[in-house]
Amino acid sequence: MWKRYSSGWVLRGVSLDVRDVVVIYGANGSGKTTFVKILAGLVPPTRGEVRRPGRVGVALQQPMMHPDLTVEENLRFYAGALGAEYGEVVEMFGLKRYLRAKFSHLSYGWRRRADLARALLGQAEALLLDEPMLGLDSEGRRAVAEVVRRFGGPAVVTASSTCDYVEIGAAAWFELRDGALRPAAPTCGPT
Amino acid sequence: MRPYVERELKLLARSREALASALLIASALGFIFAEHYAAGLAAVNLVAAALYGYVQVLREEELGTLDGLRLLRQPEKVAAAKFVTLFSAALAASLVYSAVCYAATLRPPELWLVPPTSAYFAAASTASALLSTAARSGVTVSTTLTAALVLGYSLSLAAGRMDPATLAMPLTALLALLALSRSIVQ
Repeated sequence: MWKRYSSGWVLRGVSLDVRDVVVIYGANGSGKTTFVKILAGLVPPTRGEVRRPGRVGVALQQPMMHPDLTVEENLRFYAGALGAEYGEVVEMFGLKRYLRAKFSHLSYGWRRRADLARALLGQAEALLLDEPMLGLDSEGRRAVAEVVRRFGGPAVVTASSTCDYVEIGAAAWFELRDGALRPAAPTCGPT
Repeated sequence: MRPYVERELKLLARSREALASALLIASALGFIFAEHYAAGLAAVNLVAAALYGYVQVLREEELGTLDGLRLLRQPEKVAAAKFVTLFSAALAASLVYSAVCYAATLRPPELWLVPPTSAYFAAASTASALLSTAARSGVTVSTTLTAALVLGYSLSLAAGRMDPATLAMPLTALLALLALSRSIVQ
């Protein structure tokens, strides 16, 4: 997969077969979000193709829940559109006390949690999570790690630092640098 | 389809400032165009549909929430729900405008013109806003497209030439919007 913006090439011939949990880490601006958006089908690659399974659960750094609706209204909409229930994800992320809060009134960490809950609605066959632990407290990070571990299917998780992500038990780690993916081992510290 | 329409109507209800603006403009246009009901009706619908085209579509793109709708892979439902909401907003503005025209002239307005006009402007505005997001452009492109799409209909409306071809335009525009939605919402 190749991707070029007006500023230049962001991805240069990246190829990845995801069958398990994969963590891709890289510095800010290395192209992680672009990579996830292409995998999700939100941005077309300049060259190459993506083969996706049925439904993919996607959570980007910018939440997709509408700020003018409450957490429950957002979850009810997505659950209704997907023919799913939202009780389980509410429990999983401890969202019960925030259900009636307007999404825009939540702190950044709780907005991320609520949006991750949205991504997990329905029977997702794969997960794409763009820096899911960014801005979360330790409880939130544990919840994310638990969710990814329990998911058990193919998942791509991006990270700007590897420390927080060691506990999700990824099958493979890659570093995205200069538009290319290189197998790498997790190290606890900034990349 | 129901969750999509419910979501859009809730967002419309929460956009109190935009709703108040559209209704105030409709009232003002009622006084200005009292003697030229049909021409004013076009102006009212242009304002209301363009305003809500921004609130319901372009703002969602800015917020990143349109991506969530794209991921549901139901573009026809997204486009149809947005059309329903824009139609409701345009209809409400048209009714306020008609009431003011009636109060100003004491002549009953030609209310039969309202549903096709609001439907056409809502379809044109929804399509313009979605095309604008697909083309990664902004509000200027969207409003320019809307203005271009409604020009012919508006001229017929203002001239009192509501022939069958003009009256078929709302349905044609809606069908075109739904047919194109797979390309312009993705």
